[in-house]
Amino acid sequence: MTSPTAANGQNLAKKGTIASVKKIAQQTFEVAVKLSEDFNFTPGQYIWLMLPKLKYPDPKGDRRAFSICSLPGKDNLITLIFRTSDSGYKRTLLELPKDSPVDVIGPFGFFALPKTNDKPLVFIAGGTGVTPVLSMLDFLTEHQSPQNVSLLLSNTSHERSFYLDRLEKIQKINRHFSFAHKIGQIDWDFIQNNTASKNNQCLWYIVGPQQMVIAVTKILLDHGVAADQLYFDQHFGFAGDGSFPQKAGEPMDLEGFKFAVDSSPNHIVVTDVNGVIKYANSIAEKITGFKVSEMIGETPRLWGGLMDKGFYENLWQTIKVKRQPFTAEIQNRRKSGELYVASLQISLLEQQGNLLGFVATEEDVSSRILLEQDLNNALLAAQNVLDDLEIEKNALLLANAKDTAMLASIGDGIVATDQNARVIFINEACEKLIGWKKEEVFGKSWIEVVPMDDEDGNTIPDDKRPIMQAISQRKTTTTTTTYYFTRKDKTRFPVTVTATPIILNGGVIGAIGIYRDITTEKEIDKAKSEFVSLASHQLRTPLGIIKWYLEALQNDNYFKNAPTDTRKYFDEIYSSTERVLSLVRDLLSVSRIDQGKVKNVPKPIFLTQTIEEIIDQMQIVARNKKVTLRLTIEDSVIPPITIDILRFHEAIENLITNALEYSLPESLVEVTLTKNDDTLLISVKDTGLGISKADLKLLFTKFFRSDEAIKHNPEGSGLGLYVVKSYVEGWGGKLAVQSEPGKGSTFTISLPIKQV
Amino acid sequence: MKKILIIEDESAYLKLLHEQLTLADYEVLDAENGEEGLNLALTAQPDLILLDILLPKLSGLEMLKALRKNAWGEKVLVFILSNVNESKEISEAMNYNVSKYLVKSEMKLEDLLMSIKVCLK
Repeated sequence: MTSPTAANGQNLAKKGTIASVKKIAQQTFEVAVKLSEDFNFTPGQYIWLMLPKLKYPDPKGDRRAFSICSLPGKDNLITLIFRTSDSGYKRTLLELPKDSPVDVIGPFGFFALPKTNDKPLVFIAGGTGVTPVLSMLDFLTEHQSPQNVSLLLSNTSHERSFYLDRLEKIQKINRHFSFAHKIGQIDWDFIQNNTASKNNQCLWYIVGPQQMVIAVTKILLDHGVAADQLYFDQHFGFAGDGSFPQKAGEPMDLEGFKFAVDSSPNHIVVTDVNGVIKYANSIAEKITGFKVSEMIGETPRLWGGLMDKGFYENLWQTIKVKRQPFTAEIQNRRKSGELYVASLQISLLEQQGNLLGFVATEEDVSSRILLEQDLNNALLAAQNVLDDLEIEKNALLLANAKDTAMLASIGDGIVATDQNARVIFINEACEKLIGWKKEEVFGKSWIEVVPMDDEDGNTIPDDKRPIMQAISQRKTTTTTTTYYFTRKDKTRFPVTVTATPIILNGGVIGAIGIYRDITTEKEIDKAKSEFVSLASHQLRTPLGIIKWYLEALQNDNYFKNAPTDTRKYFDEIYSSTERVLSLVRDLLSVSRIDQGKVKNVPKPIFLTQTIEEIIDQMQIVARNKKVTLRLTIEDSVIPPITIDILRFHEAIENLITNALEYSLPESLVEVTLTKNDDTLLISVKDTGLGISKADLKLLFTKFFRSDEAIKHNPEGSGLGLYVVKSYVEGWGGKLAVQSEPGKGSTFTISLPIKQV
Repeated sequence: MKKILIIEDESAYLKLLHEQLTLADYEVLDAENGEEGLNLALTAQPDLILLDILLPKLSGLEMLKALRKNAWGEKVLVFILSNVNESKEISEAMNYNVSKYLVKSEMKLEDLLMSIKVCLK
């Protein structure tokens, strides 16, 4: 290994001028500098280029380190290659016109080719650390050296660098050269796979960023490469972030320096040029555990010497040969034997350009490193928690978004309230339904916001509102009768309501109301009922006419003299007409019920008398059927009752007609009138067909007819019992049935005595 | 001879009732709407009016209301003879002192003739 040239002179700055500035690749420039005097360097060395004046400010100063890319002996012309950046220094440099004066300091770097070429060379370069290698390669190639050279290159970015092109060119010319490129960290496998020679016969050059150099050196040492085969250099690169340590030749104020040393909170040791300790402060005592008196006259090896050989080689090269400050993390041992990690800084103690010695400061970072590890672990843990939270949060957000979208898409109005019926949620459909915006109703009582009343406009009391019943009684309500809501603009609309309590941990925390505007349904129902009503009325007139004309014909002399068959035909026509009329009557009743048009016109009547009248009228039918129809009044005093007599007639007649219809000849139909404390009971009992259990469930449904009934009498409409039940319930009463197939049925109307 | 006014827009009914009542020895007057019926009633002053409800020009109930405002008309016998069988109409008619509310399709012609005979005896 050649001696570094830099060690020769005291004043290293040389005058030069810019010879050319060329763009050679994307964001990559080549600057040529012509030096005014002889400039000797070896391939692989670097220089500092100092600009006399920065056009653009740069916090890192007016100088940068560059590898020399050209070969020695070219008319004192050197070329530097670098990538552009936004730094003030580089912008200034690129704009310098030809012949601008610059200062070149150097050359530096003990990285040089061996004098003999008997050993293969392996260069391991990280990133921009390849530049000193390039000039060494150029040198070897130009001199047609038979030396085998491998280059292992690592890069952190995928960007194809300009030097790959150059390396490929070199490879074409120099058959002794090979190179491998890797994105990411260099590991032992990579090294082994790409070096042909046996490891121990090579010379290793490692250059690149500090961490890479440390890592690779360690790998090589760990795999048995001897330290004396190893050369490494931390490369400043053309990014050049290291600032020039100290200007040579500046006088130092030693008095001030001593004062600073004594009062410093850091460990400070001052040595002579050979490292012999001349002075140490009290903090140094504390960190190393040695007394100042013990330290003086010794070297810092007293507590150090634990690092590998290369470390100390590098240290001395840096401070003594390159005359640069040295910074590293170092492992040392206290007097007690305890190991500690310190951040070491060595500065040069110079006066008038003469090196007097060194100042070393140590900062015990063991605890800091532990702390950093703790902190890192904590950060990592926090990061994991954060990641988990993020995943959870995203899942929740997604679920929430789904819920929101679902609720928004539901066509029915939905409101959720707290346990005081105050609105906590309302969907869009509900906003549209009631005309209030969510902001206007949040936190307000739903009952107050939206008044609810019945068909006749009577306000529903608060405690009868479905939502309140859900909260106070845990009752799920679905309305069957029509209620009306009043919108913000005071308009009313019919609505069906389903209210459900929200139960959490066994307690009611609120309620959910689901609302549907049934205006259209109501309109359709109304139109339907009106149609039925109109059709029935229209049907009645011609049917009535047929009926009376038939009657008139039957009373005519012509008819009286007609053959028996003819008279029978007329009787059939008459009875069929009666049946159609009866059907029309039932349809009308149903349509009235469906339209809510059963207007009670109640009058006080004497039930006994009324029922007697009805039974009298029906005796003819009973006799035709050969059935005995009997009235039993069990209570002597039946109070008068206020009721719509027309409907009452219709109801009782219906029940008796049915009883007669499904009775067998020679049987009994018994009508009983009796009373409880506050209820009147009218029952109609037959001993006829009876009704099966399954049919009982559907008995009061509109148009329902049991199979038995159809077999027995195909002509019924299936409306009679529906009509009776509707009427009775309209009066506040109940219609009950008891029946057994083959044994008969009993229908019982119970009416509250105090009729409205 | 007792005089009966039939106010009925359905000609089949009108014709049948006219014939049947004539056969039963009544003098029969016909009107096909409420307005004509009212005028005829006030001028001819019949013993009984058979009044339909759904009528053109003036409905049965409107005619009745107007009739009852007249000194003579206040007391004349009126049978509502209609196919309308609604509590509302029935109770309204009852307020105007009608003697009977009869639903045509619900009764026999014979029974109607009997009711009239009893009333006009």
